[in-house]
Amino acid sequence: MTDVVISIVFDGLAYAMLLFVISVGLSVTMGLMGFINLAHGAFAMAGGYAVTSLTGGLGLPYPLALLAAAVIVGVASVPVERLLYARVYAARELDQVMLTIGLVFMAIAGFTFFYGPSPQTLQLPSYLTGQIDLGFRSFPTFRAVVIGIGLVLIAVLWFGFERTGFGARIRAAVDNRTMAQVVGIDVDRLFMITFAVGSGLAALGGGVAVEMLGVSPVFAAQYLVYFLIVVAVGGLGSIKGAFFAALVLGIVDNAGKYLWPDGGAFFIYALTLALLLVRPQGLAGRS
Amino acid sequence: MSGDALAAAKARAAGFGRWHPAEALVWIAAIAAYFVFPGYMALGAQALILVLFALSLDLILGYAGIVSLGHAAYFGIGAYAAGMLSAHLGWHEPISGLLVAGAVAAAYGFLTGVVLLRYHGLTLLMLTLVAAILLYEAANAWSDVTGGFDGLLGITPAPLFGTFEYDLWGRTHYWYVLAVLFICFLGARRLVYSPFGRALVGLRENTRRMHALGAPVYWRQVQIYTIACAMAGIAGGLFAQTNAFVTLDAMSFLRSGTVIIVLILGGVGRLYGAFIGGVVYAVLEDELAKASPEFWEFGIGLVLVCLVLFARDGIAGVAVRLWQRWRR
Amino acid sequence: MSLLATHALYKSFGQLVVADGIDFELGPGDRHALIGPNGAGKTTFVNLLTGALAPSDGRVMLDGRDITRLGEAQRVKRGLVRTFQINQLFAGLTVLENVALAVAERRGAASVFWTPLRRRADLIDEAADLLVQLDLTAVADTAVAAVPYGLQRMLELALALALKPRVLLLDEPTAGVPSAESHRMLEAVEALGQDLAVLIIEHDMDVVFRFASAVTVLVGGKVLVQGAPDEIARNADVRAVYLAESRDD
Repeated sequence: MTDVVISIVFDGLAYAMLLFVISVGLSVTMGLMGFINLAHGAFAMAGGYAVTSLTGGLGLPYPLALLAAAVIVGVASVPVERLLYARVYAARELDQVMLTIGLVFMAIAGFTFFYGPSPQTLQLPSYLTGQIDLGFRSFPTFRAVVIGIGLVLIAVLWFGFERTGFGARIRAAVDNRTMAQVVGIDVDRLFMITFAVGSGLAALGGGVAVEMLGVSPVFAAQYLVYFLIVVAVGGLGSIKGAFFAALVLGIVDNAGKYLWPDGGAFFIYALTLALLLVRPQGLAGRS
Repeated sequence: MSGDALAAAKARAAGFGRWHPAEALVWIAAIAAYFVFPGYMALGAQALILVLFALSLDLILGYAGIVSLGHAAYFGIGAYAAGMLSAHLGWHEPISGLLVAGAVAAAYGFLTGVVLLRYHGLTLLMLTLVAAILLYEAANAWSDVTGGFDGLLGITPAPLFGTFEYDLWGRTHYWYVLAVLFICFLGARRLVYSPFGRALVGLRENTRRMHALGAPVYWRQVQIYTIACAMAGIAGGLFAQTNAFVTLDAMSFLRSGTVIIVLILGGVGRLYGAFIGGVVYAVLEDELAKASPEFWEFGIGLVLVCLVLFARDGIAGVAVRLWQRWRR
Repeated sequence: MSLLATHALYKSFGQLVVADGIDFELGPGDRHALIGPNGAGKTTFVNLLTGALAPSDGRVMLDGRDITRLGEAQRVKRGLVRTFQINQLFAGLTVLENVALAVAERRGAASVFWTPLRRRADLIDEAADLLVQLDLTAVADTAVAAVPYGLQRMLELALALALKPRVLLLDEPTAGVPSAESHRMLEAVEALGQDLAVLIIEHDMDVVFRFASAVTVLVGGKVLVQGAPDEIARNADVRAVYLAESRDD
């Protein structure tokens, strides 16, 4: 029995790390600009495809491919933001939703056209396959590594957010954009950098998702709800909030699907509904 | 002379909501379609159902400014209500079936509206989305009642008024749907041009001011939400009756997204936008999606992006602007 | 016998106290001005009075009844009406349509969805009469977005008057308005019933002297002093507060 619980928690933890890495960029950029970006999942998806192409076609080692994909997608996201997104920052909510949904459609169609509709396959390096013995139990190596890397990333992001000047400027701009501009913070440039980093992280997550969740052209739409839940439940613009929301979402969803294979997804939606009704600003949001 | 301005303003108010000749064109075209495209009546009926669904969304999105990502929940619930009435309860009379569909959807709309409309912005967006997904999952879980993924079968609507049989070409269906659409449209039109309709526009334009005018903003929103959900439910009921088949995708996120796209395409906040968007989308989808699903999906995405960047008020908006420019 | 009163009204945002135990009274026929340096909490006070903001402590009374828990719309229905410092109008509608909406709300017609608006000539006529009264007829058929600022400000007042207030809270109504229009505004307010209580937030001392019979000075969320305009003008503390402010400029 405890073995089952440990498995659920472990898998849930790995899943949570993945969701966090993908969603954290979305949370910060939404908190920063108030911009509803439903195409964020497309950047993750692009990362997944980039990793498969780099490891398969170019024979790049997996870790290097992950980093390369993150950089490529992060850089590529900048013109998208400058040329398209920037035009609707002041527009109504509906327009932002529509623009980004349109981009998702185009991404899904594009990737289907070039790669076909099946999920991508990836050959993991041998040191990431199999099991790793952590003393009291053996766990799948890949997931253990994902958890490890996730924790490191969280520490780095938290440090960057809470302890550096850059992070302080982001937090200030999330708090009160007008005031931040008044004291001389270049919010536009801040946003560009944050957006690029967030998209890069999403791409990194996408590379991991190929192995853990499976990435097909519909990935951007399929998991969009989950990313939005992490952001909304966590509270816009909060790394801490995104982390805890991802944790809850990852473990509860995993448990639900394990215990009720047919209707397990129900739990996470019910939980999200309840949480948002009681605390609409999210776990770490301000009212 | 200022007297002229006041007279002009009063004249505008006196003419507010009068039937415009161009409106008649739309309905004449709908009737003419029966004679010009007799082979496409099945598609025509589905297109008109989409129009009715989009019209119901326009009431909350275009007039009250409530952005919902889960409007298909009410379409779906209406579809299942009408479907189950026939399939499980053996009540086949179609018009009363529609009334039941509308009533069930209205009740569900009222209950959800009362809870959800206390929230705003991203929270409301998420709540509408999640609530619709929950309904979907619930319908899936009760698959012995709803038929789950396989769908609800055994829907056999009785002939209209006991005399008009249905045929394989969907001709009776077309008139049935057109008549229902017309009646619902009359209701929506009357509402939009009433003092209540104007107050809704005020609500959308400046909610803060509406509070300061003493308007019961929340209850107004619940009211229009309930009415819109009833209309969506009727559209769902028509869907069930004309297809004799309902699956879970009647309440899917894809359907919620599609109806928003349809409305944006046609033009939000203009009653006929739903008409234009619905017909254009249904026809294009029929032609293009079968030819190449990827190109269709890409095309829709591209159209959306272009609409938001260049033509936020949709086809109807562009048409109105062109017509005003041509008049000068 | 007061129409509007507050007892120990207190509001804080964390450490920041914006209203520090304000006692205030307004009776029928009062012409009361609220002045104070920027950031003193004048608009916050009006927000607390109208219910747009909920107090942390203290009470708001209307007609001797506690309305602290009532929402903004309910207070409007009881005759407590305000104008906004920044115009809150319906930009896409014409001037006449804006006022007609306010009239419809007051008369309870706005909940009617089965009668066409064009058949409600009574609403239109009442709105038109108000436009004549405030000399806004020249822009009656113009969309608000295209109307000059001074007239927009007048429209802001028209919306409040359309609600037939018993207590009227004006938040810097003449700010940025050419003097001809501001004179008209004040004349329109003065022409209202003798029983109407008016509180006006103002920076323009000429307006205060011309219009108000009593003045309250608010500084840092607290009432510094209350009295007749000429007393306030002579008051040493008030001069210190204002002189200190101008010395910092």
